[in-house]
Amino acid sequence: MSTSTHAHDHAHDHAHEHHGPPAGFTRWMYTTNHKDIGTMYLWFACTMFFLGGIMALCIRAELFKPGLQFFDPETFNSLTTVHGLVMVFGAIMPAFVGFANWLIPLQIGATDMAFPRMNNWSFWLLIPAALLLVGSFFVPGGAAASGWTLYPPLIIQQGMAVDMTIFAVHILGASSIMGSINIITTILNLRAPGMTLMRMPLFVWTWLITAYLLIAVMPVLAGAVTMLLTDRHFGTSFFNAAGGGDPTMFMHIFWFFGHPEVYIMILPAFGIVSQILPAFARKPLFGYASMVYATASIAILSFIVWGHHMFTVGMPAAGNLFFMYATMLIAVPTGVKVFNWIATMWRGEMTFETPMLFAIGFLCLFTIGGFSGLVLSIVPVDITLHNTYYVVAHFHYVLVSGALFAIMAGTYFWLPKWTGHMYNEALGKLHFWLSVIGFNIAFFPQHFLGLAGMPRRIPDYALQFAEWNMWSSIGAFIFGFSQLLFVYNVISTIRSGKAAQQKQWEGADSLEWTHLPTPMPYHTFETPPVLK
Amino acid sequence: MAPRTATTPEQRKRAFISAIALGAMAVGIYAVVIIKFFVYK
Repeated sequence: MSTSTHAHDHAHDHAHEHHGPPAGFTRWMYTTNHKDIGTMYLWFACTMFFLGGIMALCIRAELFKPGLQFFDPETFNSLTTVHGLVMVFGAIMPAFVGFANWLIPLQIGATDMAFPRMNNWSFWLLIPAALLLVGSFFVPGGAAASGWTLYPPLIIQQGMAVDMTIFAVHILGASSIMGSINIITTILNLRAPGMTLMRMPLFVWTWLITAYLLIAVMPVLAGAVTMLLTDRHFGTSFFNAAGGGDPTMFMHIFWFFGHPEVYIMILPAFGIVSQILPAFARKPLFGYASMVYATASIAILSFIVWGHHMFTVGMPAAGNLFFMYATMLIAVPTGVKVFNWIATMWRGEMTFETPMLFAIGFLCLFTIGGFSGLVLSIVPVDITLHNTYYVVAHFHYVLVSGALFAIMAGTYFWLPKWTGHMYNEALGKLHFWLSVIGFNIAFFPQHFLGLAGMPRRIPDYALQFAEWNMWSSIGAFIFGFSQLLFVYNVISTIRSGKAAQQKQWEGADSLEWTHLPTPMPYHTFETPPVLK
Repeated sequence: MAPRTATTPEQRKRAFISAIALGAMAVGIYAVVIIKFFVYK
């Protein structure tokens, strides 16, 4: 790609001396700048990650040994429920939207998102939603305790915390839909001349597909929770068996949303890793086009596999078989991706800085989560393992060592560009190794616990499960506290890190590295870059 | 100082049309879910 816009950008540096951000709180309250909004999304996600993490450590402290230690069963169930909701809707999704805000305009050569004011609104809607979600702990009856899936009939019988949760989900859904509309319109309409769809960085592609997924499934979740609300307060019986309703119908609707939601949380991670691995292998991404098609295939298939979450509810055998084979089919495009990532690294001039370590950690551990997903896709196996800790282990391998590790990798990768400062590499590597070790001690034994029959969502358990639970709790605390290193590293980078170079990573080749100075001006690409 | 060039009117128009279509899609899906079950029940 050409660097013919450098002159423009240097000229812009002078312009920005007169057009920088306003000072103080109003900068953040009223900002329409994609970088500011991306930063707010990332800090919001970080805050919610630690709130959800504290809940996780409460859960693991309770499960450290058999018997009830700290929480009554109702509170324990509330902790698992809100931990799940906070991590999914408050941490992982907003973190990826933060990346999207920061990177999409930069990587396609746009000056900002297509609808900057709507972008601001999308972010600020998150705050009341988060307050409702976390505040539900403090109302009579405690927070929702039905699991993050909000299954009736339990959810219909609980107190006002459920209404707060339903309202929060509605608001978060509206925020996600507005964010997705912004992302799609930006990508489709504001690309720089020459930035064809098949030249876009993989991160942009994965977000384009993810945004379509969000628009397709968030209204379905909103519909489901609206019906929960009318069941609770307006005399309907959609899901209330006592009134002729069908709780199983809620499961079908929820998982029609819920399974694509899993890919909403992992496709942007694929995009981040697809940019980091080539940068540190110093080779172009192997099989770019196949990566794009594999991402689209995964997204399409995600709509026809929801039944694998409910093999035990008594679907016809033909239904179970369909969902089993459809689920197994997803392994094909996912396998294409894993193959391409490995082929990208093959004979590359690899170096192992922190982003690369997290990306390789993602590749190894996410693949374990993928394989345990294949195990669970087999109907008779799933019927045995349903609602056991094997499932908990599986989805934490996908969402923690998958989505979260990619978020960590991406943060370390782009932090020099975002802040203009280089992070502490030794601290980053320490953070990585403690995370990997803590994570595996926490979650690998949960496979054994599940195979031995330990059910999930219980505050007490039989003595036979004691030892692995103790190790799991130890690992969780190692993992949890090691994240403080990450926050310290980020803050110290912002405040006093060494100056970063324009192209901090030799192999990075997207526009933000090749066309923009470090630190970046407040406004970028006011004149579109010219790409050859 | 280089001239600031924001998005073109044509880009804004296309973005607006895209946003309306996507918003209608989201509202439509929500309406289909709700109406289907209200009518069915």
